[in-house]
Amino acid sequence: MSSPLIVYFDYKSPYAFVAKAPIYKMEKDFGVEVEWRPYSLHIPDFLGTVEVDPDGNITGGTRNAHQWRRTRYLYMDARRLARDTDQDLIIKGPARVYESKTAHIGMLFAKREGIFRSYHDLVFDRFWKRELNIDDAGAIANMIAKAGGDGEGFARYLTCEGIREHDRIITEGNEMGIFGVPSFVLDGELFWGNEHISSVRKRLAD
Amino acid sequence: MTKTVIAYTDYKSPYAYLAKNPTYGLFDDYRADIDWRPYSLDIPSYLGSAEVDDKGNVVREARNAHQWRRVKYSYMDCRRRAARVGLVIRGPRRIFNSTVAHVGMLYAQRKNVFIDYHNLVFERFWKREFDIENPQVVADALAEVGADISGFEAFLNGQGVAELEHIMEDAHDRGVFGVPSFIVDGQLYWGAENLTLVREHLGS
Repeated sequence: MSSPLIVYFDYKSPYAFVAKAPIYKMEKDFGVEVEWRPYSLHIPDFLGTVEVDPDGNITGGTRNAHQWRRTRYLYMDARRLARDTDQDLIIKGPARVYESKTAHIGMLFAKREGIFRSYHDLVFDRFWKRELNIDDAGAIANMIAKAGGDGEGFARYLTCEGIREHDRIITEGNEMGIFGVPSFVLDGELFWGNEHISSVRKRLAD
Repeated sequence: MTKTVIAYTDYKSPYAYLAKNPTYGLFDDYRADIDWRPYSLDIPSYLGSAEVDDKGNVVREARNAHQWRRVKYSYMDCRRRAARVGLVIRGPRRIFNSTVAHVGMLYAQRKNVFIDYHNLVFERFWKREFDIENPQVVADALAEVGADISGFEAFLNGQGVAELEHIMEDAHDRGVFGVPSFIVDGQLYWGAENLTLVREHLGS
């Protein structure tokens, strides 16, 4: 019996969204236990910042020309990857850079409530349709309730235990060398990126 | 009908090195015409910068924690991939400027010695046996693979750099930001792992 497969994800990553279904499939195909962990990407560290006005017009920020090309490519590529893996996903570029910490604490709470998968699917789908603000505590409480959990309980969890748990997971992720999502840790070996799903599958099959 | 694949590469990228032979395979398997183009990565614009001494100690750096984790992962990942195909990849001690070696590549293409030059430069650079910034070292490599190097110095100081800059501007217009990148029928693919999709594209 192999050790659990740890998967780091972030709701604001289109690549993590596209990886979700193949990871569910991996769970099913190999009977492996997947431990989902949130990793709140700090986008300014690698794609700079973008300031937008209320109408969505760019008014400033630190994103350089390289980072702009990279950003445009990644949305195009994630959509292509979704199509190539026969997934009918709506991926609308977010109007601004999100933090995602609140939605990630919601995910930790959802796990406790035993509603992880419903919450996970709901948050990913709504966020990428631009129907959900993942930084809004009230909106996340609604998602918890909609998935069948205790929305009020989430509000309490968010302000103390949830944030501590979240920060502990991020620190541990950083110590393991995580820097992006989706990332996979199997028997201590780290794999970053959707393209490594096949490598992980191969390891599980061995 | 023969398709053309534009392949962007940079000698200082270990991922570009790993993609070299599989890119040759696009010709072998699909008779695709490979249009190799140099793309000089501006590494500090996305990974910051750092320099290490002979013992691997960091002596200078302008790199955040995220960038360090990313760099460490990249070399681990490249070595993991290199081990599978029997290549040697030793991390460079500092960030190199690959302009001279890239102009050498354009010259090698003119002199019909591209493949031999390409193989030689990649292999020696990643064994830390080749200074890609040194015009004499690059000229010697060109001579070693059979090029007449009498015009290299003039090319390097004039038309060569201008041509490289033109290729870079054109690449940016096409959305290229990293290597290896491939363009086939106007579709951009970044990363060696996307060679599978390039192959599917050529096969369809």
